[in-house]
Amino acid sequence: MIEITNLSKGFGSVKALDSMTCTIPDGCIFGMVGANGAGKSTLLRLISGIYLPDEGSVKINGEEVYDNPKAKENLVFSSDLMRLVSNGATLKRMAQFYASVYKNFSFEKFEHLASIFNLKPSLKVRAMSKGMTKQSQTILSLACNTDIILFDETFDGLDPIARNVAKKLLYREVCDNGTTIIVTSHSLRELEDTCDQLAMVYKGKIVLQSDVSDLKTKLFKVQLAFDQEHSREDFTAAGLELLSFTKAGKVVTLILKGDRDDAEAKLNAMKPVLMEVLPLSLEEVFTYEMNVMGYKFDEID
Amino acid sequence: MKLFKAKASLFSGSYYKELLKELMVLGIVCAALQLFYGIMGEFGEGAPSSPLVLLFGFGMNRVHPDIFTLYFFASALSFLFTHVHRKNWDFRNSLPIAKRTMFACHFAAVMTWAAIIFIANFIGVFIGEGLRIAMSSTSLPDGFGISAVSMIKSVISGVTSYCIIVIIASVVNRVFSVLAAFGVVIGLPILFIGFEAYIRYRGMDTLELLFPLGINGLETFKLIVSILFALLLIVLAYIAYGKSRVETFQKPARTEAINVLIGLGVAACVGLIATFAFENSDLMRFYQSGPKYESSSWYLCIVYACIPMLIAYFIFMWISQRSFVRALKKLVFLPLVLVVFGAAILIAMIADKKWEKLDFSVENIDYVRIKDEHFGLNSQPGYYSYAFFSSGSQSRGSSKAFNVKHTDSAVLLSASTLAKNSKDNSDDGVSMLFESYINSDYTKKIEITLKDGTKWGVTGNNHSGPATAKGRIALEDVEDNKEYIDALGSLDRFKNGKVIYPLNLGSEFNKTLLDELASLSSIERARIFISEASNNLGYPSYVHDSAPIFKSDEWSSSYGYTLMLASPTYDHVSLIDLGEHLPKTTELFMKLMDKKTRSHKDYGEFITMLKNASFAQLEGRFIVLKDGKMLEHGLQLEYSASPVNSNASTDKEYSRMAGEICTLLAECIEAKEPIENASTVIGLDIYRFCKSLDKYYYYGEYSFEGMGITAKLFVGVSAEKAEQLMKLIGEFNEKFNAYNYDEIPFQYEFEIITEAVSDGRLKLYDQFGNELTVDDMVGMYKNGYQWFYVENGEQNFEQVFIMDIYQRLMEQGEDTL
Repeated sequence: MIEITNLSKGFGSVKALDSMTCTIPDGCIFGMVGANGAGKSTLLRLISGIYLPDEGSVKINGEEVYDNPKAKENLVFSSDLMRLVSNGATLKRMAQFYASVYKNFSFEKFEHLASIFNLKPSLKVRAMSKGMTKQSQTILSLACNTDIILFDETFDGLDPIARNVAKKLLYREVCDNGTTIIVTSHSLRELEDTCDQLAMVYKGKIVLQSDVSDLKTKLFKVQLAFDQEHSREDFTAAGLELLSFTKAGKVVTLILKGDRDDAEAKLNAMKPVLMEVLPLSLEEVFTYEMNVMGYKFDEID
Repeated sequence: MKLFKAKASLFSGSYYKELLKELMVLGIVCAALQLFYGIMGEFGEGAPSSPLVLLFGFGMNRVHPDIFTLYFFASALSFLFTHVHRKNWDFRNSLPIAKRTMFACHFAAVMTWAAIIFIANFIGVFIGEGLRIAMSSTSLPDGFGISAVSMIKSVISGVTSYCIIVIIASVVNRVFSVLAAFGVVIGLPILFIGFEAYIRYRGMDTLELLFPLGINGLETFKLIVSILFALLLIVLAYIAYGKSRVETFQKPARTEAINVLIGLGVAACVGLIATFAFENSDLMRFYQSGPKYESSSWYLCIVYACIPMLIAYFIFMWISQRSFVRALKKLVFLPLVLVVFGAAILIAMIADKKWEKLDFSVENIDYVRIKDEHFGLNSQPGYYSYAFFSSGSQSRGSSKAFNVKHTDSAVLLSASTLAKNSKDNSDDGVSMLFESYINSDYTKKIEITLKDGTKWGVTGNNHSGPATAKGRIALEDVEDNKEYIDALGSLDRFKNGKVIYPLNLGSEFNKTLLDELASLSSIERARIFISEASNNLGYPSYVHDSAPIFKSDEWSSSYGYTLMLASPTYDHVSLIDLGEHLPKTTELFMKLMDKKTRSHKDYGEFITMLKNASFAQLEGRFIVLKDGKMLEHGLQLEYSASPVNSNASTDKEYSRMAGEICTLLAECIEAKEPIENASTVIGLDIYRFCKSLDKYYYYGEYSFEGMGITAKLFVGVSAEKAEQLMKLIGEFNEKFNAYNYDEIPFQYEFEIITEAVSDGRLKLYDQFGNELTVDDMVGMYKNGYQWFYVENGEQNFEQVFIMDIYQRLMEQGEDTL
């Protein structure tokens, strides 16, 4: 388990993280979304022990992680700044390097994953495209067989096919080995169908953290048509938790939060002519949640 | 308080192996270069017979330290780019290895490759030794011990540089700033010391003044300090990198103060370099005397030092701050750089005071020891040598006080001052003394032990020009100094030694030589070790530049057959003249060389040509060992050219005598008498042998030298024929050759010059500007010096050959030059 408590990190006058607190449970895919400069990469660098926190702490299984080899033994960080050993090195040479550092590194798994991505181990790093480099980072990180893997925008540069392959590999890794995977992205759509948990980072803080399935089920959109006009107050008076209300004559569109069956029952009691419950995309869910909290979503993505 | 919060192992074997791989290319390249230089080092410096050295034009052994400097500097850069550079920091710092462990592993990997490079050198030395013997090279190899010590020093300085870079990189944030800071850390102390010495020249550097430990003491002190300093830097680098924070890199705001310090250092370096570059006597006086010296000095100081400093500081701040405005603001700190100059001047003044208090008068000196830093020939503890040294350069035109000191130290360091009973103006033809001294162009370290027991190291530049009478010393002068004689005549250093020139004389010859040397007394051995002149046995003689050590040249007064004896590791080398003082060795030498000469494939052809006199010109030198005395006669035959003042009768006589000499010479050489029965031995050194004047070039292949024998060639001849030959050559030389090597004539022109000197119309100087007396001049001339200095304006001296001086005197009616 990764425990982040009151974590702050600044660079000169810029405060990258501001008293952040969160807990990342074991065996899940934890997604972090936020705009560029929100503090996602800084958080990952703090989790992987690259940066020293100004305040607060990052603990992995109860141990401070900064410059602590023992805490970092079961963690691998796939950075967007991955340079690898040297430009002249091949993928195989990289694997050897990782194997010398990570005791659970599996060459068998490495070769298997490389074949899935159709990457030759003899391929030189400098000859790789951006996408291939990201694939290589994914392969090497997974082959390390660590308990925690941190991916910093690793999937953003992948083509759709490679991205799907990578996602499947992550699922399998979590299912088979109970690995904790943290993925960052500036795009919600990238993480929507990948993560178990999602956190939104905004100006150095986690402004929202939730289970993805909970988020999707607790917020829903309902479109209603009545034979007479209804005001917003009519719905709140019926005991509905209203996040959004839009009215076009006798047609009303609501974004509701709460138990879906209970809400449907309350709406039916208002005798609508037509009622339709529509699914919300994760992006819409976040938009409405952020609006409730007073943030504007367009500032985030 | 714990230095590091979390525990971490000191070392990671697997990571170390990976770093070994990362450094492999650099290590292999440097090891290959070192291997090459190791081989080349065997051919020594300035070895004329080594084709490879000729190809490169300089002694390769000097390059040893450069490889290590290059290697450690490149290793440090490799560390910067793999462990500090932004593109790598996520990769490296997320690994489950503590930063301090990474440094330890990198350092260990660097040292492992350094060890391989070190070993490569010695493999190269062994290969070079084999090649040297195979090629019969006459060059002097590096001493193993000296090479090793030199390389160990290089390793220490390399480690120091490496650690300095790591430390700076751990506290400074940009590669540019790191490199600039490295330059400042390395360069500023050197420039600082140079500047301090520049403005106060004393013939003794500040370190030696502040730590009067003597040469060996100071060397040991420096070595210990450098080792301790390197160890301290290793620990500091370990901590600094271990505590470094990657997030501070490339964040200028965090290290502004450090950047200002580096900028000031850069400014100070540039100011000092500019001061040296624009060497200006007024500027130097300004530094020495302060601004009161001349009002225009301020202007000079601003132009030569302040403006370059200002520009350098501003450019550095502009680059490091990435802002023109911020760089402008930082200019307020620039005046702090004056602290550096102030400190240099203050230290110079303190050292001056100490220097002034030192009494280096003859009465106060107990003894003097010379250390040869280059070949280590005089580095044996307990050895004394005498030489004429000057401390520093006169050309710089420093203050009067300096000149007084300079004169003092020159007198002090001249042999006549050092020897308590020396004769100030000995006119016995004795020249300078160097114990087995070979390269005369290098700086020497001299250790002066005063009677109060304090030891002072002085740096002296021994000159390669002529010795003056004031600088002469005879071994006789110090014969009563038993300690000196025993040390000088000690054979310990040549235990199990061998002759390295000429090569391939065999172990029997080595043994004979060492046994014969062992049978002599200390004083006899001392004479041999310091002397090259068998006809002046008992007196030291002067050895010129490195090139003629392998054979006598025309300027030398040496008539001996010079061998080079070396200790097994080449750390000690001595030139030894064969002759009556080593009869067994000389006889064996003659036998070996005689055999070698006669078995040469071109020998028969040479004799035929000699008999038929089928050549245009023959020059040679004949050295005869007769009744224990060495005699030398020069010979020059030119068949196609008329002798001096020729006419028909002299031409005829010339041809007759030359033909007779050639025939007799051929007969002498051809006579195959057993060497044991030959009471006289001829050494023949024909070095010019031309077929015709129309096509004038050297036929090396027909000369003895061309037979692959670069030393003198010896053939055993019968006593009777040798007598005839020498008599004939003597007559011939008397008639046709103006110059006789056996007796340097006081020719007419020389007499005119001495007359002009004696009555004060002409002033001659040695290269240090010391005016010569007639005796001085005669002494030098007898020792083969044909050039002197004449004053050509204030403090300016012109080197003039004796013949030119005569010509000028004649042209100007002997009145003046």
